[in-house]
Amino acid sequence: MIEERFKSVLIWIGYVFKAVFCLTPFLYMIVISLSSSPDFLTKLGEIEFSFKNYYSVLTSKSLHFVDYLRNSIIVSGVSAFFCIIIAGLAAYSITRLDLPGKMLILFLVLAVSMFPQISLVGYLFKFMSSLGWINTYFALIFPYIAWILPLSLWILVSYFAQIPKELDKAALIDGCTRWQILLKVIFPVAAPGIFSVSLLSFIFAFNEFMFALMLTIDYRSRTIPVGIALFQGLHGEIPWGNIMAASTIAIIPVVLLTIIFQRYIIQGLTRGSIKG
Amino acid sequence: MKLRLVELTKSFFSRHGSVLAVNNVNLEINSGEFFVLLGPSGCGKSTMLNLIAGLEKPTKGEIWFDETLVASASKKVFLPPKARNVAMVFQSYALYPHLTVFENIAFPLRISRTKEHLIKESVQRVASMLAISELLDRKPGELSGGQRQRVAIARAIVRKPNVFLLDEPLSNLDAQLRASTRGELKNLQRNLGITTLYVTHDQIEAMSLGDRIAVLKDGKIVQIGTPDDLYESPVNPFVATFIGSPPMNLLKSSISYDKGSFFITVGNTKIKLPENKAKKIKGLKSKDCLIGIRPEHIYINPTSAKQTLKGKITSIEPLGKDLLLHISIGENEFTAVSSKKRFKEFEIVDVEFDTEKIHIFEIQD
Amino acid sequence: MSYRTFSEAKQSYTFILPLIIFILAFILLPVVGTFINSFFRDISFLQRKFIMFGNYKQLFNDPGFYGAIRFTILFIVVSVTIEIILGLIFALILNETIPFRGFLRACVLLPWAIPSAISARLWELIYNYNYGLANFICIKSGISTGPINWLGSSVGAFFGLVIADVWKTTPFVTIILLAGLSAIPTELYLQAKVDGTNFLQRFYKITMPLLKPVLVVALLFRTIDALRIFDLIYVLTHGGPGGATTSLSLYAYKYYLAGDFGYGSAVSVILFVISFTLSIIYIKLARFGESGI
Repeated sequence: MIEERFKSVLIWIGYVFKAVFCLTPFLYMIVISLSSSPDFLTKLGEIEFSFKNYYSVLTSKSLHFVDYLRNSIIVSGVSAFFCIIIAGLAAYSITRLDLPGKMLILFLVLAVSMFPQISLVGYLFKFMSSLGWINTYFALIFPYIAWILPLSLWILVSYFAQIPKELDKAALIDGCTRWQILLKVIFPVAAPGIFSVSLLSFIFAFNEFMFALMLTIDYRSRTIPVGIALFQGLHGEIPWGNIMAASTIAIIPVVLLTIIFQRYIIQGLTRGSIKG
Repeated sequence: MKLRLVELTKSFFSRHGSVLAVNNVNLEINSGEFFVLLGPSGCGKSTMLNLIAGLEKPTKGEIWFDETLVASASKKVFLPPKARNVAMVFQSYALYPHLTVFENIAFPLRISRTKEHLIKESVQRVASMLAISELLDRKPGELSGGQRQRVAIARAIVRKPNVFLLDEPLSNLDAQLRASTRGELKNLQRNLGITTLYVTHDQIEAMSLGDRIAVLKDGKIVQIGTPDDLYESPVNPFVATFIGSPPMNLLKSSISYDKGSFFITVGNTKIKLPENKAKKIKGLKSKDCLIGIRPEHIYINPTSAKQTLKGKITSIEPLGKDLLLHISIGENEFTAVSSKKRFKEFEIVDVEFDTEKIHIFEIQD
Repeated sequence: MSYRTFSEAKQSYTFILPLIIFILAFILLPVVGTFINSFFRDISFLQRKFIMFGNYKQLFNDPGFYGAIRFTILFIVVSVTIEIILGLIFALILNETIPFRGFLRACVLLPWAIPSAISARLWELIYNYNYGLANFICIKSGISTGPINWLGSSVGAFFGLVIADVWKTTPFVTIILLAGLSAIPTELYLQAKVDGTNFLQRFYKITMPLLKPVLVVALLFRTIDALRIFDLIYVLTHGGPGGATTSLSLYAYKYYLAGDFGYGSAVSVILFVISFTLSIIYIKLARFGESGI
């Protein structure tokens, strides 16, 4: 009994520690974003709260914040979309079609997912430059699709593999072609998995930094992470209030997605890593 | 539609070598027949269904639907399932989990672009035939095993297939449901008249459902016949013990000849065999053989006895109406069914073998 | 053999072709390109010249390079150790039936979900010498007498990075370990309870042995990941102060930025080779646990 008590106490301490540890930085971010001056903590009680930072971030043209947001959402959305389609097709053939060398492909893809980005980006820069794509959406979308494919593939393979193959046989007998089986049976049945992968793909694309840093130059294609990273302010003192306001706005999409769909995200992540 | 298999063979190749799943099978199934493939697990019966359905390609041999060559290894002919108009019910039913019962049944019709009102008509007709009309809006996940099975059958018959293939469809049902569904299946098939190929490892199912049965072992057909044929005249000990419950007894014995009659030895006693067994005996390679006799053809303490032996009861199993007695005579042990009830363990009883019902088999290694 | 027709195999490959094209064109090709580039002198406006191992010879004698290696290794060791331990603790807690488990799970996921660049900026503010949260907490709680120069000292920057990285990536480790924990059948624990063990014993005798494969996988995975760390360091410390916290990725990047693609490629190649070797080990280990495909 004492042991049970002891364990409960430990768990509660851990629980509180964990929540505090994870959430405090966010709270700090929000507080600073709402205060008129970042030295909130040194002048406790003297600071007023306002939305001034948000207002300035959203309306200031020279900041291009809205541009960054737009770019991020478009690039992430398009990349995730095509990534799912390509990974879905590949996962289908790996799990249900007679594909010589399928295990080899899977492990190759796994190995590829662990490449350091820096060993790609130098050549990518030159490649994109020669195509004239630097500072366009293309420069980001194509590498993003390739970059997110490995994880997407592994997760989808794990979901598809669980669909009983007898379903395929029944569909074949009912007169379907392989394409029809994919569209009418596999995709609908694997819908939760596809949704998980879409979420994860979007989040990964949204958060990507190095490619965006090197392959974009200005507001025409620059994404949020780079925008906020380079946000320096014009007159020397770093405008923390503005930066925090921008950050808060920027993370709203992913935070909402994570909170609402946490189950899907966790499932997807788990399958993606336990299997591999 | 008549189904013909000619020298059908299927091998699977893997890293560990090749496996001969179906070995040179020749079979003719008549139009409208309820044909059963019976055999233990791993004997190749499911593979045969897959070959007929077009889910596998034959390694050798041919499959004919009436006069149409549907698959041939040598002539490089292969019609995919879609072109064969077959229907299949799987052991796990394989219902589309994301579709309602109505859509499940309608699925094959939608794929073949049938007109909407025809689809509705057909689905409702088939649903009422199988008494599942109230379930049309539900999803498979909400149904019981028996209901799912009906939906699977409905989906199979909705488009009037050439041949109806069933792969152990009753094995996931509980025993009671199995028995009632058997009867319904038989009636359904008779009404629809579709050539049916039914695969099972359960000989009771085979015996009650089949017009004819083919017993398979290791990919080969061992015997084909009506249920009576298989019961009365099994061709070897495998079929003999597989068919019939409780299973046939097999006793080692030897033949002797004396004054124009043949005898077998059980325990220390010689039993005279009737004349009609002579031909079978003359075909034996040696005088050692296996005697097969069903428990129901061994009589205990018979009122009018011709040749009786003394045997000891080693254990008693109640079978409901009758008793199954385990008896030993010398080194032979066997079972006998008796409707008399008053026996005790270790009791010595009179045992009579119905010599007309004795089967004589070659000893196989 | 079954007469698998050419058109069937072709159809299977059509499905996987887009994937192969993308990976070939935008991942494998760049890597090969980088490899090749490392053998050239390729500095912005200077003429591109093949110098074979010239860059590598220079690398061999480059103290900055060794500094980057030292830092990267140290960072990995400290960071990953803390993440695994903390992740395990968090996973153990989440594995218990606690109220508002969903809330706690979401808490744990949020740091992972946000862009690392934004997280880095946030921590940059937290570590602000004058009014950052870190110093506020340290002083108020008595951990230190005066403000700590987080970003201005090499030790401060190091630990600043470690804490920020731990904050960001522990969620991932937690999720993996949690999955591993829930795979352990509860009957084992019940049996052990009946046998009269206490929870510490159960932890050592049941949880740890069964969790070990997952732990190893998580460890290896995080190590490979930490090896290529870039975003956090670029934004938070920029590799400073004075190059004290420059990881290998960042080191290569600095040369790219300066226009020296040859040298930067060489550094990238070294990083790639180290990472690839670890990946192969990881894949070999992870092989034991495949099914269904």
